[in-house]
Amino acid sequence: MRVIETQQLTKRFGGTLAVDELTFSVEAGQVFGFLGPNGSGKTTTIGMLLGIITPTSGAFRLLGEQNARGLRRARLKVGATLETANFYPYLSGWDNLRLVANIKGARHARIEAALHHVGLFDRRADRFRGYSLGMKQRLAIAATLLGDPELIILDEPMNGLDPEGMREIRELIAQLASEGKTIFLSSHLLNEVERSCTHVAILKRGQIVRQASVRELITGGSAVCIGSDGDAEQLVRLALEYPGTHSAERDGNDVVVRLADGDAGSLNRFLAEQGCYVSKLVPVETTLEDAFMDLTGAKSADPVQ
Amino acid sequence: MRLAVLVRSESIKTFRRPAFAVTVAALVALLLLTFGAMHVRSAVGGRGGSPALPNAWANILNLADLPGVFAAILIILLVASEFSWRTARQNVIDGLTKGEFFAAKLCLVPAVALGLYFALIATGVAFALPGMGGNHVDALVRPVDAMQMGGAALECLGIATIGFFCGIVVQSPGPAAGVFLLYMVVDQILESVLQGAGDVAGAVGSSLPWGTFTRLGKRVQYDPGALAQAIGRTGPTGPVHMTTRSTAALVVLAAVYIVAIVSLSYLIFRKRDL
Repeated sequence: MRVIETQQLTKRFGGTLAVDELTFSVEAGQVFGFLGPNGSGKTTTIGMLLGIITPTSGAFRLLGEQNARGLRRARLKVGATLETANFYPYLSGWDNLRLVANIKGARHARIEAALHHVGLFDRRADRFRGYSLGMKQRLAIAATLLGDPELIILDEPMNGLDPEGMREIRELIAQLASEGKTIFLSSHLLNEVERSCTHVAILKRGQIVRQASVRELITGGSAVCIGSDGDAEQLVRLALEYPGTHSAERDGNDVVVRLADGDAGSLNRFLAEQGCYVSKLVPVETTLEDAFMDLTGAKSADPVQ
Repeated sequence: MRLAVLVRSESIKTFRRPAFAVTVAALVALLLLTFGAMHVRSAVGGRGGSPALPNAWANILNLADLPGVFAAILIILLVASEFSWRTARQNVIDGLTKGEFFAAKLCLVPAVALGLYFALIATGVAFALPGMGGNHVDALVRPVDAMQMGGAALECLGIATIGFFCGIVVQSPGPAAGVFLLYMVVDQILESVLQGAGDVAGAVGSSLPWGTFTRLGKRVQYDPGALAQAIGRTGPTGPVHMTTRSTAALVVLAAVYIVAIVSLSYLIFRKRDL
């Protein structure tokens, strides 16, 4: 079942096209990473899904619902936090969750369970304004859990967390995923996304430039570095003729071939059939960050979200 | 529309908000000072302190501007903060519709306005009761008092609605309060300027929202004797000469303003992204 499905979703703010005919889908049970540089349209897209931003055109389904009444029902089964933890600063953590539970129709027992889940039960009586950044993030996650959601949307959930806090959130995400919940995660911490997510979509200037499983993206990117005694340009041409090649670029006398299917053996056989025997075939270690930089054209120093 | 959910949420948010307690305390303190000063002045003048009910109603209800302005400021704090804290957005994310969120905030207008209005009445009556002693009166509330009571309540509601509009449109408490106070001044300046510019302009000037709402709470609107006294003090061209408009017309105009302000607030709110 598709829990999120967008079709040519578009949002224009005046003359600025923030989201450009976005079409993607998220299947139930996935831990889905939503990545892109600053201003690529991630928050706007999430805002449209959550009903706080009105799309200019296009359509979307949330938990299979499309019309206004259905979407309202669906949103009660979604736990979400956008950008920062938004709570009433003068209320305690407990009272803030009481308000959320009141809206979602959740029982008070769930507040206690959610606070235990994120390790804030002992600080439940403290005012939100007195919480550290990490505690605020945890309270936001606790709030998303209140309605026993089928879909959890987390925007930068690891912001402000120390390494131990990040590990706890990562474990929490894994636990929620193991309970069958779908997680939609926007984060600029690419290594955390790589460790937590099963699938990702990468945005650039309001458009999806790639949607794939994390495994596919990593292994299907810079897969192998090949070399031969012959002409490197000839090797590039032949590598590009291989049907499973995503891209092939010369790197000195070698050629870096990114494979869509990740099957380096088939590439080797193909080259041999063409009369080109490689003298070197080395797997290239790639990360999600490498793939992200390749796809978005971002430099390493660029902030990404 | 889940009214019980909305009322429960707004109750928690409002009663736990320090600004609520501070505003109510400040209003009550100001009223105590005002009524206290009236009492002392009356006692020093040899009139034996504050007048008793029902004569005290005129003095009490003439102060309805105060709870109206305090209600507007409090509503601005309660409404505009939801945008600056981004809790309005989070409420919608959590499952309220935009219409429900607006309705929840709108419920605050009568609740706060009438709540502070009753604080005025309670404080004023507390000063008026001792003066009654064992004296027999035919009625504690005469028809003219009841009419002024209704008008003063509508005045508070109207002024609070202007505060609501400022909170919804400006979406930041400080600037919204500034816009509200500026409007108060500009409306009165505009009214006095228009009154000197011919009959039609004068009629328009006296029909502006602030003047319409505040006129409803004043004794001169309901009591010809009080009007004659006021004209005697200020002269026929003084600030009270326009109170000859019928009360029914003022009530209708005030109701139209309240509905128009709320409708405009909703249209602006609905159109905006959170």
